[in-house]
Amino acid sequence: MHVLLLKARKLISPVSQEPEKHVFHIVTDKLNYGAMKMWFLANLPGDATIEVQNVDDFKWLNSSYCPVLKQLESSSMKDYYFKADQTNPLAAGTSNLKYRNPKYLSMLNHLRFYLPEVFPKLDKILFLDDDIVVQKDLTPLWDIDLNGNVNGAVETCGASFHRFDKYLNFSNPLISENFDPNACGWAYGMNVFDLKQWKKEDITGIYHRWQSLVSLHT
Amino acid sequence: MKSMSALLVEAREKHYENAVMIKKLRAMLQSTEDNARMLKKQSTFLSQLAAKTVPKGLHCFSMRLTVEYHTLSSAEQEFERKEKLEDPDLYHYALFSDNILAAAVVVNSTILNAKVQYLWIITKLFSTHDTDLLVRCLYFFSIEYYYYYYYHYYILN
Repeated sequence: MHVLLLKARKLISPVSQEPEKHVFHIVTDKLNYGAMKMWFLANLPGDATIEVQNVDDFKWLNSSYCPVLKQLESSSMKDYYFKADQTNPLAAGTSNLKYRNPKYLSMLNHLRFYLPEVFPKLDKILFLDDDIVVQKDLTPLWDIDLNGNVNGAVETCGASFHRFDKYLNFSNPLISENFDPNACGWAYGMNVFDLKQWKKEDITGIYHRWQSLVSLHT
Repeated sequence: MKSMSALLVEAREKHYENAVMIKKLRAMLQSTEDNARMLKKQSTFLSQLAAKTVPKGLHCFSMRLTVEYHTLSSAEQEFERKEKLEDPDLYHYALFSDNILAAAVVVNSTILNAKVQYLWIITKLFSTHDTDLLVRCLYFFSIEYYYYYYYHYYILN
């Protein structure tokens, strides 16, 4: 016996939505937390579910767990103590202020490497950048079989641009032994992540290992 | 003769030592360059500072929202349907942003464009011919099928 399971797009009543199935997880910083929450409390689109979190509330995100924070901390310390260019008192004031909060500089950007830590109970998530406008239904993306891969994305490379050799330093033997210079770069605006597979392959651990080999040149 | 001697005196007065002169000019050039560089840096910094301190409508927008948020009672500050946040069967989006307008655009455009409802049809078929027939029927009724799974079940008796 064959059983056919068919998923059909119903065009007869295109207005029928199921917005109650959409759940948005927004993470912002301390400064914008209240405002962000207020905006979505007042302007909730349809029946969608929204959550707003503050990156500063993630207690696990600290310099002993996360190499990039450790590096930022030590580089800001170095700058604070050894930086010669302190002649302009105005500039010196603002730069110190910034260095005191290394998290604000980049943690929202680095958070994408910690998706399973942020969403421990979810299996699959669609990551969206804030510089995009959605023009199509995105729900079919959840049906894509990633074939055991962790990240589903759109490749953005051409014959010679957005290849790995443009991003990575292949004169370093560690890089040239582990990466293909001709591999294609991808767009980070919209990515599907299989969080189960991420945990299984310990992507966070791999990221930590590579990050601790990097020297930040800020 | 008189004018000749005047010229000679003048020439002697205006005779500079070339090496010293070159050194001096070089030093002047360097200090001017340094000065220009410093002023350039300063002007960039000041224009950035000016841009930061000019009151912006957007700035007030975030401030007003924050003030409004803190006037709410703690019950009103919470979103509804919290139980859905951890339900893995729903469509979950992650959005990390410090820009309220940008986040609003992403959320609204996602919802506005998610207009399609899916219809699950589960049928028992006995041959691939039947499958073909069903797909044709769907086509006839202008139901665009998205894609289908095909399972073979071998019933063991």
